[in-house]
Amino acid sequence: MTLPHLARLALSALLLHSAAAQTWGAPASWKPFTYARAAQPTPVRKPGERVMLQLDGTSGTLKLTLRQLQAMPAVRYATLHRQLKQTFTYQGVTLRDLAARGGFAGKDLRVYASNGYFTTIRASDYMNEPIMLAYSADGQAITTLQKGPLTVVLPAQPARLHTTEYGAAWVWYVERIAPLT
Amino acid sequence: MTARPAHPRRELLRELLLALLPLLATVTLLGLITQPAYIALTNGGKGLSPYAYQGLVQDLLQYRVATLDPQVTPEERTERYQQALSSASNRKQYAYLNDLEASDEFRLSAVQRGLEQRTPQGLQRAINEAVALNNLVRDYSADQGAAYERAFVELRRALIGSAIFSGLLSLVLILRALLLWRADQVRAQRREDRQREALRLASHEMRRPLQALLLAADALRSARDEGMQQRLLTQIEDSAAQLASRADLTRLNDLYLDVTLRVQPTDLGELVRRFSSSRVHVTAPSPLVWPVDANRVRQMLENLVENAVKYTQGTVEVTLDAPGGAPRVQVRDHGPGISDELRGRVFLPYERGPQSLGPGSGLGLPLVRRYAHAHGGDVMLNHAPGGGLLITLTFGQAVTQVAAPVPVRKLTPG
Repeated sequence: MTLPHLARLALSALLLHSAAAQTWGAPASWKPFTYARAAQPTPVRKPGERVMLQLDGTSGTLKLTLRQLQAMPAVRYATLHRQLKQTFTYQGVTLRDLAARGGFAGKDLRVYASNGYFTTIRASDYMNEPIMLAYSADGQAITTLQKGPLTVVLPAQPARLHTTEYGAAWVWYVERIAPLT
Repeated sequence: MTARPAHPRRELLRELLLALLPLLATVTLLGLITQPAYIALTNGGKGLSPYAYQGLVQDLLQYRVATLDPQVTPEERTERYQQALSSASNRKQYAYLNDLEASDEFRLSAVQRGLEQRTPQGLQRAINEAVALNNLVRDYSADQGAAYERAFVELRRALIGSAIFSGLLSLVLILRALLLWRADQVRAQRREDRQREALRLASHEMRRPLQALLLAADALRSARDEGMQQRLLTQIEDSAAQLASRADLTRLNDLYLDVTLRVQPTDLGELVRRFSSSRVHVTAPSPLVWPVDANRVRQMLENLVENAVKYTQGTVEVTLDAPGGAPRVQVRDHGPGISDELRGRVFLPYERGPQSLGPGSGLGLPLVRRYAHAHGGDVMLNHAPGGGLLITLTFGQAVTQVAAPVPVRKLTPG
């Protein structure tokens, strides 16, 4: 076997390895998050109850009301809101749980707002950090003036989440989440 | 001789530091000269994102559409209003808003006021104000981009400058290493030259006692009476002793280069009289005791007398006296003498008298002068009155050591 052969082999092994690193495996192998509240039984949507979030999975669309979102496992932490420059204790559902619910966990997400704004949140970020879709701040529903009712919130740590690079990830007025195709 | 470094470890440390110098200097220099550009770039972050200002205009326009569209429910209209108000009332989501407002007449508070009037005119004013702020931030962003570009240009210049500096520094260090290496070569060459000179002088000076020894040994074979045999044996012993004195390999330097004398009071008259022969007439008072190295004085006399005998045909007169208290030996021949031009050169090694007069290496007179200097005296060549050459050898207070003159040659190897 010649040297170029060996080099090519080593290169493909390296590429395969990095490709393998992109798969997330079973949920049990994911990095554990600290939850404030465990999952509750999902309430049935009442007639006329407003749909707050739409999950556009590959196999179909899932529409969730606020009560249904609140029944999902909840995380709670204090963090400084990047645009409001104010610290709130937010509570909400992690993007990872939402993606898993929609059947697209591990894929990069596109998060859409009701005012036409959208951005992409990378799987490597939301699979490893408890980035949440918050529905309450300091125990209150989030007002539109505070960028609610559903707003993306990033944890206080790690510090890189508070650099300019992640400024666009704080999506306000969220109404739809879909995997990036 | 090359001196070994007094502190080898210290020298090694110095050389290592010198080798590290380009690295340290370059890192320090880069750190210092890239500092302004670095500050400019880090202060500005990754550049101004004017999105917040665009978003404000979009929210206002969407609210305006909602007010005009009969399909929109009152709840949705209120939500659009709230969203627009959220952006119009939250100064903190706008980068550089204070700078922008300070630079011009447009204000975010005017947007909020217009919006809160909830009239088409108020909304129009709010939209106009928001669009104006949007224009300001676009220009501000362009200025920032230009500043970044300048910082990059400066950074590039600084990098090239550092590279040149570091290259020059390395060049200087390499030149220094080359010079050190060449100086080493020159020293080694000089050492070799000195050794060669010592060996040449030794072989020159051993030739006479060796010849005397061989002649005496040859004569011994045919010597008939015991008295003659004894004289010859004494001569052989004397020659052997002289050989030993001149060929001590451990003292070659002391003997021929940086001459070190073994001085003791010696009767010069007895030394001079040894050279008496059919052609050599010696006049010497007895005794004339003076502190000298007897073996070296004998070598001087040998050289002077031998030259006179070899290069002339007539008698040679050797006179020892002490006109000013210090001894003086004069050797006078009746030959052709030497030219003034040659007289200036005979004390340089390898210069000889008229080439046809006989073999020799031209080392005798230079060595005589070296020994004479060691004895605090000198040797001088003069025209003798009435023709011939008069060589005067003077003595003074012997000094312990006289360094060999530095050979005259170019200081480059090869």
